[in-house]
Amino acid sequence: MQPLQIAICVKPVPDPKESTQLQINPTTKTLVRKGIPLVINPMDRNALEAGVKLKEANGGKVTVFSMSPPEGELTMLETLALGADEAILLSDLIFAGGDTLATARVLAAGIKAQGNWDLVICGAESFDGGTAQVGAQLAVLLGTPWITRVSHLKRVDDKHLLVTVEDEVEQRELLVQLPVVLTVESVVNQARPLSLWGIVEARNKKITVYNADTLKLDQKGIGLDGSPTQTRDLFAPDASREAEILTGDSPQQIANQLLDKIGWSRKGAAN
Amino acid sequence: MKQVWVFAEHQAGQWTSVTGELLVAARNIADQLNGELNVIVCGDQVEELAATLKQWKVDRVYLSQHPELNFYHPLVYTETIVDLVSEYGCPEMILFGATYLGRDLAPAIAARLGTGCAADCCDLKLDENGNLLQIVPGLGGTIFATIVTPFHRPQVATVKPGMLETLGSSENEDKAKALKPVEVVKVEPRFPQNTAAIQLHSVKQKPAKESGLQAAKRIVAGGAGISGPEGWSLLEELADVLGAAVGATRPAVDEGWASHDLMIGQSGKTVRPELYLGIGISGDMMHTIGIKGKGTLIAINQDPKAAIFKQVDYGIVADYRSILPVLIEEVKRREG
Ligand SMILES: Cc1cc2nc3c(=O)[nH]c(=O)nc-3n(C[C@H](O)[C@H](O)[C@H](O)COP(=O)(O)OP(=O)(O)OC[C@H]3O[C@@H](n4cnc5c(N)ncnc54)[C@H](O)[C@@H]3O)c2cc1C
Ligand SMILES: Nc1ncnc2c1ncn2[C@@H]1O[C@H](COP(=O)(O)O)[C@@H](O)[C@H]1O
Repeated sequence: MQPLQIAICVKPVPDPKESTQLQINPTTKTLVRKGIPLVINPMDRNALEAGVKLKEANGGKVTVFSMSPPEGELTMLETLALGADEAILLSDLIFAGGDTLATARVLAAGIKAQGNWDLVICGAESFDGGTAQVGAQLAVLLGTPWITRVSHLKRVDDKHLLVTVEDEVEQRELLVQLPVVLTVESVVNQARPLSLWGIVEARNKKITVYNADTLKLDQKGIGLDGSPTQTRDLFAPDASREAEILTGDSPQQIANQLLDKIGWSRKGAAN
Repeated sequence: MKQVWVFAEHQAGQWTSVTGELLVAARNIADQLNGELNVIVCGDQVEELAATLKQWKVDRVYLSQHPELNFYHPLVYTETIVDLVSEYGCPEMILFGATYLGRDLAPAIAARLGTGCAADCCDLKLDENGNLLQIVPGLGGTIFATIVTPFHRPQVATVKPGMLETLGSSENEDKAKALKPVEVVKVEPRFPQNTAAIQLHSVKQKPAKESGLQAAKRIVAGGAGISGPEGWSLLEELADVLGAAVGATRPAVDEGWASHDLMIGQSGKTVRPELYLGIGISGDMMHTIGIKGKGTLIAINQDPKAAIFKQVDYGIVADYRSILPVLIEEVKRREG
């Protein structure tokens, strides 16, 4: 089968394991992320893995695109060590604070600037944004079809992929023609771990940084000011209850206390 | 006149539960705006179903019927709705359920129209200027944000199922009989040039058990602390005697003890049971954000400091292995 030009969208996100460290600045209503390391968004590892597997099977090239502050470069290096051939960091102060549409506009401009592509793969959702919107919006801007939440993916010929998606009641297999934008669930594959060899190889690969000028982006639609949605308020949910701890001398006693508390009928107790 | 639009989704010939929730909220919002509530229905042979919309006092239905619409095709649905906006005037907002379909379709429509889309709202309100206040969870439910789309129309949003009030069932159907029928406007679906790029290859129904969690009155949920399939069987036995549905945290799903459809939380289902019993669950917000309503919540965890004890009504600090067999016996004994 013909080699594929594959674009992977990778978002550097605050390490989910450290997410309890995140705090809200009560006056500015913004998130304080200081000191929390950035990692590859978990599902984007699966997106990358899917791209690298397709390349390993039939050749081609995997290019990672990421809109991120300069600190994202380390994450880019990691994607190169995991098998990407090149990384494009879309970084500019005016990109900051973009919502999903503003982000999709920057990603679309980056992908177009890079040239031909057959397939774009995103994660189904990001850990921090969690909207699951960027993939479909990117496809609309690129003018191609899209399929979100792919749980299984197979290339069937030069021009077609067979993908599986699930809604609440059905599982569907779809035959999709390239070019297409896919977003993938974590179950789509088992992402490979970093290898020493991968890290060594990554040193010879290229990370290119594009800004708004190189992308010839109209500032009207990007960044905080170009975003149709705005965040008006941030607040922490209240965990309101405090448990009454049930104790007793024996598990029987505790179990019975529990059943009494929830009013489970004593129908059989007399026997 | 200001318009509020709802995309009414149906599965297997019935409105999805979130459609009912959206319609109640949207009717309310439309009334506050002195506007109309218009509903989009796409599908094949859905005229009869569309007529039932009158119980929500819908003003108008845009009905797009075609055999091809039986299958959700992202391009066709997107372009059909974009057409509606240019043909019938831009509404104030278009609301979708945050289902597979809604979460796929809503952002695409927003991108086509160059407007904002708020994902997975847990509440909708109007501010004093008539802007929609869209309350969304962020960072896996550890924070919430209020999102507004002040300068673009329509305001597009998806709403998480189980978050908004719904109508009482049968009583309202009776009342609805007295209401006037809804005005139905038939619209042609739009098949863009590249429609054939996506083709349905096969369809399989998912087992009913896996979709029943959200409706369950009682839920027994397990987490990483169950630590193996034998323990999970014990949990299933307890659920069985209690007549409860089984739920799970992400680690329990990742371990393969439970299917993905049983996951409760940020990336899973939102549930409103009368009784929730969490076993071997630490109480991470990503899981507990999915438990709503005023039901009684109970946790069994061997760690007295587990965060779950700050979020439930009753706690048992113990190894679940010492409690569950006894609890199962006691329930059986009480049942006689
Ligand atoms: C983007 C994102 C989305 C997520 N979405 C979800 C989601 O939708 N739903 C979800 O559930 N999670 C989700 N998670 C994962 C979530 O952050 C937590 O990791 C998860 O909920 C923890 O599951 P747990 O409580 O089962 O496991 P743990 O946190 O490992 O807790 C296990 C608990 O079991 C107790 N225990 C151990 N042995 C025993 C015993 N013998 N008897 C009694 N108690 C015992 C321990 O004391 C501990 O408290 C998400 C994470 C991310 C990053
Ligand atoms: N800033 C970004 N840079 C690169 N890719 C992104 C960015 N934001 C989102 N994505 C992609 O879009 C997917 C969905 O993100 P979201 O809509 O934020 O849930 C992610 O898994 C990424 O693949």
